[in-house]
Parts: sequence; C-alpha cells; structure tokens
Amino acid sequence: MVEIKVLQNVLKANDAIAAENRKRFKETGVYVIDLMSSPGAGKTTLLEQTAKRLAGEIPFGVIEGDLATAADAERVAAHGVPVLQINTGKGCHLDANQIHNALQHFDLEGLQLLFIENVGNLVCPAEFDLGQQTKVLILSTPEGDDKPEKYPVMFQQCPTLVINKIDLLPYVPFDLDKVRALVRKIQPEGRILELSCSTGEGMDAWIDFLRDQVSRSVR
Amino acid sequence: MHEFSVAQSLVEIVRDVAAKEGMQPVQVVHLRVGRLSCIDPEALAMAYELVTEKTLLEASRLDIQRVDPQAACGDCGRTFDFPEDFSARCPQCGSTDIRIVQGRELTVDSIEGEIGNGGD
Repeated sequence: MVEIKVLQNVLKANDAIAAENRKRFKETGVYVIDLMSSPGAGKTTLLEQTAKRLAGEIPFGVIEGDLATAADAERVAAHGVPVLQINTGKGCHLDANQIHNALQHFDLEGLQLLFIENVGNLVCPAEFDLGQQTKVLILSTPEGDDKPEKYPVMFQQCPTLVINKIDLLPYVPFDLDKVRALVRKIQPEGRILELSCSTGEGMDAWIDFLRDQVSRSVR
Repeated sequence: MHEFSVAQSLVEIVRDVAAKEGMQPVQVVHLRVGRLSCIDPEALAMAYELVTEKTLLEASRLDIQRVDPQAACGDCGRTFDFPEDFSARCPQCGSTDIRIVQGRELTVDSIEGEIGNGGD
C-alpha cells in the first residue's frame, strides 16, 4: 500500500469563491455584513428598522437566506430595499457560491452596504466564509443567557454582538451582566450593542456603527 | 447538519488526487478535523459511506483525526492550547491579541491505496 500526501482543505472550493466575492466587494466599495442568529432573534426586524433609519442616506441591499418562503424578502422589500431571497431547501447555512450567484442580481455599484441575512442557526454558518468584511451576531433576550457558553464558536467568530429585545429584560430570565462577561472573555475587544427594535432604544448606536463601518470602506 | 455536502467535497478531492496519481483502489482516507470546526465526525463518516456507495471509493475507509485547538499571541508570540472555555487571553503576557492557528481545519491529510494495479 502506498500513502500519498494530499493536504487539501475540504472547503477549498467554497473558500476560493468567497475570496472572489471579497475581491468584488472591495473593488465596488461595498461593505458586507454576514448577519447571523438563531431563528426568531430579530434579524429581519433589525433590517426593517435599519431601512427606516438609513433611508436616503446609505443605499443598502439585502440577501435573505431561509430554508423556505420569501416572507423575509417581502418584509424588507416593503421598505424599498433591493433584496434577493435564497431558499436553501434543507441547507443549514448559506455558502459562498449562493452569494456569488445572488450578486448577479445586484447593482453593487449603486450600493454602499450589503447585509447577508444567514439561515437562523448558531452552528453551521460559522463554518462557511461568504466573502463578508465582518460578521454580526444577534442574540435576543428570550433565548436565554447561556448561549455564549453553548455556542462559543459562533461568538468567537463574530466581533460584533447585538443583544436584541432588551425591552423584554424585566420579563425573561436573562442576566445581561453575565452575558457581557461571557462575551468579554471570548471577545475581549469585541463590540456589544444592546437594543430593542420595538422601542428603538439603542438603535442610534447600531446606526452609528453602520455609518462608521461604511465610511471606512468607501471607494 | 451539512456533513453530506462536506462528504461530497471530500470525495471530489480524493477522486481527483487518486486519478492523477493512478491510485486504485483507495483504501484509507486520512482526514484532519479540528475540534472548533462545526463537523460531527460520526455524521461525516456515515455521509462518506453513503456518498461513496457503488463508486470507485466504495472500499475506502475514512480515518478521522481530531485536532486540538491552538492559539498564538500577537504580542509575545507564544503558542498555547486554546482553552475549552474559549478564554481569549495569552497565558504568558495577558494580551487579548489572540489568533487561532489550529483547530478549525478540515483537511485531507493523505490517501492510502494501491498504485499501478491492473494498469500497464
């Protein structure tokens, strides 16, 4: 029997396409955020609120990833945002090729910001590079304060954490200090934004974060 | 749960290398899977069996080696075992400029089999 060294990354095909996407984003000066969370944490609602506040200021687009339906795309499109829905079928995450194909439907030159709303899942999307410039994770208070310990890889991958639904803090068992401490341990230099899409509390800091990121990447 | 698509990518790599090197049959595929990768080795092994069924790789066995995570400090340069609690702080100098250098891989390390069997 003969042994042959291979030393090839199994995800190399995905990573090669992600690198192409990244190059394209850089050339067109579009800042791209991979937005991740569990189902129901408020990704789409945050995008809707963002659309209201950034209207006429920063042109942005959205790629929606879901197992099925175009419901999220319709919600975002209602705010005049260019949006494309990707249905992954049984796929638990978006991959770089799906993004590559979706980009054909966007006039990237006309955008400054692009959100990729990944499939609601705290595990698999961490594995697949899409070509994004940054990853933002949303954790909502009803999900519980044990999530950073249970899904550390995802928290480790995302330099920005949005803690959503802080208006529900009086009603749900969610120790904000505990979560801050857990996240600080995993991401000592990370950014934590606490907000409520319902009351608008904390939304200014989120919008400022986006303005800041976009202004750094203008072509 | 994406082990099935990962198994397909894996098979493509093994098939290409085996064809290029004239290896037939492939008997063992050595795969390195970092403990920080979101891959379940048992599910991957099962997916591999299904994907290779009735193919040239049917007789091959997947050997998965788990790789422990390691991190490197950007300040003092020390490499250390990345702790299970994901604490991102250098044990030597306390810096938080930490980079994970091992433990996320999903790499085909090598393949074993016969070369020149039934060939010229």
